[in-house]
Amino acid sequence: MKEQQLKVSKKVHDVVANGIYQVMTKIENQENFDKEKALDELEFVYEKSRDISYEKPETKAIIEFDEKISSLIGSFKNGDVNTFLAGNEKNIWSGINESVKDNIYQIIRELLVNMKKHSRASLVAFKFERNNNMVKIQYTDNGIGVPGNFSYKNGLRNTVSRIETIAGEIIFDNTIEKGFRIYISFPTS
Amino acid sequence: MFKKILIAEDHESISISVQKTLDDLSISNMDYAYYCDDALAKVQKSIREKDLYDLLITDLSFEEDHNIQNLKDGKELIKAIKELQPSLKIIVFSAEHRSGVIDSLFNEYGINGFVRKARNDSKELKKAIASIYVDENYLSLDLQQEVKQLNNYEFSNYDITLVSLLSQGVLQKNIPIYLQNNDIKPNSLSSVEKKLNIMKENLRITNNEQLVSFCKDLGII
Repeated sequence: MKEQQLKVSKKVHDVVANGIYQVMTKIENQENFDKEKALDELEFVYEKSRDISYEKPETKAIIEFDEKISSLIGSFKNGDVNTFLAGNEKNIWSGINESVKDNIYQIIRELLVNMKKHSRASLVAFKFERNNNMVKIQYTDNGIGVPGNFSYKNGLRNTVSRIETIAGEIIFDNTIEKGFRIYISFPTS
Repeated sequence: MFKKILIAEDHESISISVQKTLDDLSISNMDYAYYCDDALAKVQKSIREKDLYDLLITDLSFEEDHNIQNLKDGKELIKAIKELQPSLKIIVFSAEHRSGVIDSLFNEYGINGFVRKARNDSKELKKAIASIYVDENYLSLDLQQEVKQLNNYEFSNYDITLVSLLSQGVLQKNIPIYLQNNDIKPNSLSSVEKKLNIMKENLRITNNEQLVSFCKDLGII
């Protein structure tokens, strides 16, 4: 019973909260995000949330993590910013602990918020790789880069502490010709 | 080309026009069903007789009438059929236009193509059939903008392999040999060309050199 409750509340979080959050990000980030589109998106979340109450207990979580990542990054795409993903396939995320995934989701979100605030980038890419027991995430943008004496202020300080929570590593690379690159890696278990 | 096709569509006139479209592609072995339960029964029969369908074209909504059905709509039909014959390719042919719903058909129901009932749908259906035959999913043109463009482009591992090979100086025409040697599919020259063209179109660039340098700059390869 308890386990069932946990599952339902996780689904509410995954489906409803994330769904609404994404609609909010889109309204915030995309100019010309019109009423029609907002309605469509909300209808989609509505249908998904309705599904939760009808769902048989044994059915699996509704949205796969790779799709969540893809729509999170996509929600930052607008007329000025183009978003790209590479290697975001299901097997990257298989067997990874839920709390680690939650942290990863937030880390990616924070990088994107930071990008939007400071970078003036028009191209943003995330590349995902998994080998042996490590997942590697590489963030690249073509923005103004960071000054040489860069220190992790506010937004990214959170990111760094999240990385520590999942026993991972983050490297800021401001040596690339133009823009900014970040390497993140963390163990799968 | 596909050898044996099943059409599940409750509107007679639409069913006939789908059959006509298949005729144009010289596909003659097709069955049609006006009800979902009937469609499922036909699939079961084909499995019993070891004469499988290789493509299903189905609508999503089926009007209820005096024939009470176990399977009420196309989604239920797809789910039931996928359990029996996971390898069956499926095209949904429907008036549905909401991107969320269509997205979930691909992601959750594992369909291979979606064509919206609209102007030019017969042409779109032909394109869908041709794409799916070479193992490419298909979304009709008027919808691609909405659903696929969540991000500008999402490179699959296959895409990355192709661009990496180009960056190592492998000629496009020699890529299939490499893919065959490494057991990577699809490995025909036409599917390689097609994939590279899709990437270039999405990135709005014209040649392979630009593709390689774009991917290098963004750390994709």
